[in-house]
Amino acid sequence: MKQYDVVIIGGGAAGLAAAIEADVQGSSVLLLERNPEIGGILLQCIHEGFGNFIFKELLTGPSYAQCFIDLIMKSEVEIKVNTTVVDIKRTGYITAMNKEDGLFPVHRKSIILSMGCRERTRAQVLLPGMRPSGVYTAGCVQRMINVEGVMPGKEIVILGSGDVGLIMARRLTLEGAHVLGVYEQSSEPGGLTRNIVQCLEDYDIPLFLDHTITYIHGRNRVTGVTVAQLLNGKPDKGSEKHILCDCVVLAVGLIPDTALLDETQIVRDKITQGPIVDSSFQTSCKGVFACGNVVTVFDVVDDVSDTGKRAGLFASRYAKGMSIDEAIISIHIDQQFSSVIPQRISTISDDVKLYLRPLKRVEHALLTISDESYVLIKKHIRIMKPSEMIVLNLSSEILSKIKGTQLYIGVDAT
Amino acid sequence: MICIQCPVGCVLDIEKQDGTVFVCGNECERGKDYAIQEVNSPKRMITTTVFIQNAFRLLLPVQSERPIPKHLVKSCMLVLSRVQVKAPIQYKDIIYENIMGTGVNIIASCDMKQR
Amino acid sequence: MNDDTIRRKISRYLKKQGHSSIQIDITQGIVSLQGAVNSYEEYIEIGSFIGTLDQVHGIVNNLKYPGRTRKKRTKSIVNSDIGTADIVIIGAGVIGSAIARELSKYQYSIIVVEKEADVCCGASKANNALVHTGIGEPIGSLKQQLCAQGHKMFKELAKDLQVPYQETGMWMVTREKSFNPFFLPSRIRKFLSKYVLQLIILHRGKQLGIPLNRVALDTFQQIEPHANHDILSALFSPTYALTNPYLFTIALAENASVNGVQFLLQTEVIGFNIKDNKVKHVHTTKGIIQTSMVINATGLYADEVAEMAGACEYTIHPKKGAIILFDYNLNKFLTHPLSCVEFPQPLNYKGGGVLYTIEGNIQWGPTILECEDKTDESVTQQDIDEMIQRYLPLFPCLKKESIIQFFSGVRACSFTEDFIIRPATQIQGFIHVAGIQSPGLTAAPAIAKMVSDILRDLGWNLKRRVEFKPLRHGLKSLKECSLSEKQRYILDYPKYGNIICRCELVSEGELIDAIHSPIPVTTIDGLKRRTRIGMGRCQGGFCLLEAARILSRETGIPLELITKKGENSHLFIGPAKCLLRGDL
Repeated sequence: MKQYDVVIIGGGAAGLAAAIEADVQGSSVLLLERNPEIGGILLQCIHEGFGNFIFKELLTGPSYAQCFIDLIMKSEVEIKVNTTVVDIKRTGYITAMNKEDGLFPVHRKSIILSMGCRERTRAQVLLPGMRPSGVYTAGCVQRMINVEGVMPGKEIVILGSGDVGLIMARRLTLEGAHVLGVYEQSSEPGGLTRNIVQCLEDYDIPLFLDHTITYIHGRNRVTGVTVAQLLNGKPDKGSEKHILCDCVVLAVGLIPDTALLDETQIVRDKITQGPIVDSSFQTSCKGVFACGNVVTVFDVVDDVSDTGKRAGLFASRYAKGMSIDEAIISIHIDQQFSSVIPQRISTISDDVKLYLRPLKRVEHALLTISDESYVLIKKHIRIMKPSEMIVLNLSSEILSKIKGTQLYIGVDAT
Repeated sequence: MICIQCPVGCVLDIEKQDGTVFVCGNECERGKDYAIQEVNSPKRMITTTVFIQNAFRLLLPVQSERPIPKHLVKSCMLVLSRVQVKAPIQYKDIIYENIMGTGVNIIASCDMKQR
Repeated sequence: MNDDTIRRKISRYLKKQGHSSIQIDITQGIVSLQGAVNSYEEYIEIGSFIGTLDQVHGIVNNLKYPGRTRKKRTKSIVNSDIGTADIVIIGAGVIGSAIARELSKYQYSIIVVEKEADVCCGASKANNALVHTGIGEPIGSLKQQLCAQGHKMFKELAKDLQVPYQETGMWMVTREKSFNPFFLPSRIRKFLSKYVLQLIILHRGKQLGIPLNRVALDTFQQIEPHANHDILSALFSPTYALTNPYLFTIALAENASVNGVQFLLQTEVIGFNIKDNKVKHVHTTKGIIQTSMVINATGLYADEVAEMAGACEYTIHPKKGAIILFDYNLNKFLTHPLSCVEFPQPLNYKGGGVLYTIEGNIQWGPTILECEDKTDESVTQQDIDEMIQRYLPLFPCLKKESIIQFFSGVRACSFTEDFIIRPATQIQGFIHVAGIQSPGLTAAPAIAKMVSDILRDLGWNLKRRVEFKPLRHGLKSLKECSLSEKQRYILDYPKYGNIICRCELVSEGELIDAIHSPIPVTTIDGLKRRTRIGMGRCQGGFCLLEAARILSRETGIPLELITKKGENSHLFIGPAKCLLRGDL
C-alpha cells in the first residue's frame, strides 16, 4: 500500500488545520476520520463563538469547520472517513479499518495525532445512586439534540458549570426543556463569564456554586436527584434537597482521548494526561506529532487550529528529511499553573506560542519568563483564571536570547 | 450587570434617568457601550437547527445573520421548529427571511449535500 | 431436632431478646413467624438466628417492622390462553436459563417466563464472575455440595456454549486485620494471621478435596509486586476460575431456545390456578399458560411467587453487593485474582477481593449489605467508601481516577442462608429453586442437574431428545480474532469493518449479529452485554447514540422508543423539537 509523507489521525479542528498545512508544504497527506464526516466536534457545536482570532468574526462551529472543509476539498489531501485506527504498536506500526479496505496498515513518514478529547464519565466522579436511563454527558446531549434529532429529557439538572455545561443549559432551554439548575462543585464558575450571562442569566437558570449532586434517583428512568452544599469539600447532609427531574446532564470535565497511545512509549504529561510535545508539536517519539485537544484541552478553537497548522508544518518538514530540532529547552512552571504546552522548546527560528493553564484565580498577576540568568519577559495579566488559558507569544528574537536549557515561568502577585 | 466584552467581567452599575443611561464600574469604554445597548435594546444572535430532508443528516445548523432583539428569541425558536428545508444547501443560504419582522434572515451555518 | 425442639430453642432465644410476643408456627421444619419487631435489623437478626438451627428447612418471616408494607397486586389477569407446556420455568436468570438448557435435553415442551425485557436482568448480571471451588462455603451445606459439583462441570459446559472461561487461580492472603478478635494485641493478631490462618484454610481444603498451594511470602511478592507489603501470608488456590456471568446466562438461554424452549420476555407471573392441590395454570400479564409443573427460579421474588401458589415456605431477604471496575490500563498491576481472608468468616460472606473480569478490568467487590428494598440496585457513597476501605489497602497503587464503572446486584438470600431446591410440600407440580446467592453461578450447572433428578424422583420419565444440540455458536467478537480472521470477516461482510464502539472495538456487523441472535435483543443493555458496546472507558459517550440508531433500524422500534432496559427506561423523550412543537 501507498506510503504517505504525513498521516493524520482525527479530522476535527486540529487535524484539518494540520492536513491543510502539510498539503501546502507539498507533502502527500492521508487524513483518517472515524466518523462519517470530517469536522469533529465542531459539527455539533452549533452556537457562535468560534474564529474570533483567525477569521475576526464569531462563527458557529459548523461554519468554522466549513471554512476548513472548503480548503481541504480544494487540496490534494486524501481523506478516509468511517475509518478507525485500530492500534498503534510500540514500533509505530499503524493499523486502520473500514468497510471498503478492510483492515489495512498505514505506511507513513510522519504521524500527527489529533484525536481530540473525551468527556469525564459519571463513574469517574463517583456519583452515587441508581443507574437509570437519562444520565448523559453534556457532549452526548449536544450530539443528541443537534445531530441525531432526539430530545434527552424535559426537566433537566446539570452538574458542572464549564462552558460545555453552560452552552447546553441554554440549548436545552431553547429546545423547550426546563433546566432546573446548574450545580458546580467549585466556588467559582468553570466557564467564561460571557456564557454565565448569555446562557444562565438570560434564561433565569440558577447557578449553585459549592454544590454537588449526591445521589441519582430512579430505577428505569431518572426521577430526581439529591443535591447538597459542600462544606470543606464534603457534602453537608443538612443542606440536602431533593430535586425532581427526568434527566441529569454531566459536564464534569474533558480528558485528552489518548487510548491509541496506550501501547506506545510516548511520554505523557502527568497533569494533562496528553503526550508531551515540543514547540514543533513533536512527541517524545521521533516522527510522531500531536496537536489539538489530545495534547491538552484548549478553550478556543483558533488555538487548536494554530497547533494543528504548526504540527502540519513540522511533520511535513520531518517527512522531507529536514532537521527540525534547533534547541532543547525544558520549560518549568511554578505552582500557579497546572500545565504548559509545549513542555519543551525545540525551535527558535520562528515565534513560539505558549499555552498556559492557570491553577487558581489571581488578579493583577505579573507573569515572568526567565532563563537561568535573566528575566526575558514580564507581562501584567489583569485576571488569571483556571477557565481561561493564557496564550503567550515568544518571538524568535527572545528565543534566540535564551541562554542554557531551562526556561522558568512564574507569577508574582502585585 | 456583568460586562462580557472581555475576560475581566467588570461589575457595572447602571442607572437610567430621563432616557439617558449612566454607567459606572467599567474599566474601559467598551463596557459603557455594551451596558447602554443591553439596557436600551438587548440583542442576541440565535443559533439553532432546522429539519432537513434528503440529506445525510436530519438537522441543518442555522443562525441569524446578526443579533436580533432578545425578547424575540423564544418565538423565533418556535417558528423555526416547524421549518423544513431540502438538501442540497450551501453555507449562508437564506433559510428563513425576515424572522418575526426583525429584518434579519436566518441562514445556513454550513453546506449540506444531497443524499 | 424435631419441631418441638426447634420451637423450644426459638422461644428461649426470643425471650432472651425480649420478643416473647412473637408467634411461632412450625410444620415439618418450616418455621413461620408472626408479630411485630422494632426495626428491620431485628427482623433480620431473628430470622438469621432461626436459620442457624438444625433441621429448619425454611423460614417464613412475616414479622412486621416499621415501614414494612404489604405488596399490593396491581396487575390484572389477562384471560387469553397463550400456551401449554409440560414445564414452565419462571425466571430467566442464570439459574432459570441453566435449568431450561438442561431440561431441553429431554422430550418436554418448556416455556420460560421472564418479567424483564431480556434474560439475565436480575442478580446474574451483577455477579463478580468467580467460579468458586467451594472452600468458602459451610461444610455439609447444599450450596457447598452443588458448588463443588458445578465447579467440575463448568469448564466443559463453558466450552460447549462458547463462553469465556479461564482457570486463573486465586490468592488467599492474610493481613493483620484478617484475624478478627480485635481485642488481641497487634503482635498476636499478626502471628495468628501469618501462621495459624493458613493452616485452618489448608485443613479445610483437605477436608473438601480442594487443592491449595502454600507459597513463600517473597515468591508471592515477586509474582504480585504491587500488592501491599503488609500481606502476611499467601495461599494459592489453583482451581479458582473466571467466567463471564452474563455471557454464560445468555448462552444457556440461547442454547435452550435453539433446542426448543420458548422464552416469553416482558411476561410477569401474577398468579396460579391450583385445583385439588395441583398446579393447573400459570397466570401472567400476557395471558394464561396451561401446565402441570412449575419451576420457581425467580430469585428475589421466589417467596412472592411461592406465596401466589400457596407454597409459602421461605422468605427472601435481599443483600446488596457493590462492585467497582477499573480501566484496562491498570491490569498490569495484578497477576492473579486476590481475596483477603477473614477469620472467623462473617456469616455467608467470602469477602470479595481484588479480582479482574475475564476481559481484563480490575474489579473490587462485591460488598455485602442487608438492604430492605429488593429493587435497590443503587451504589451509595457508603458502598463506595466501604470498597475503598476494604480493597484499596490490598493494592494501594490503584487510582480512583481510573474507575470506569460501578454497580450493584442484589442477592436473594433465604434465612437459612442455603439453597432451597426441592418440591413444594403443600402443592404438587411446583419445585422451589430459591435462596440462590453465591455460589449460585458456579453451582448453576449442578442445580440444573439436581432439578432434573427431582423430576425423576417425582416419577417423570426423562427421555433424551435425539435432536438435542449441545454446542452453541457464540457471537463473533472481532476484537478476539486474529488479524487475518478480521480481514476475512470484513471482506465477506463489510459491516464488520465499520467500528461503532472505539473503546471496545465493536463493529456494526457484531451489533447486527447480536440483535438477531436466538434471544432477541430489544434494549441497549441487552446489546451492551452481548457485544460490550459502551463498556469501555467512555461508557458509551461516543457510541451509545449510534448503537441506539442501529438497534432501531434492525428491530423496527422507533428511535424515540428505544429503552435502556425495557419498561420505562426510554433513552429519549421524543424527537428533536417535540417540546417546542408540543408533539409529546
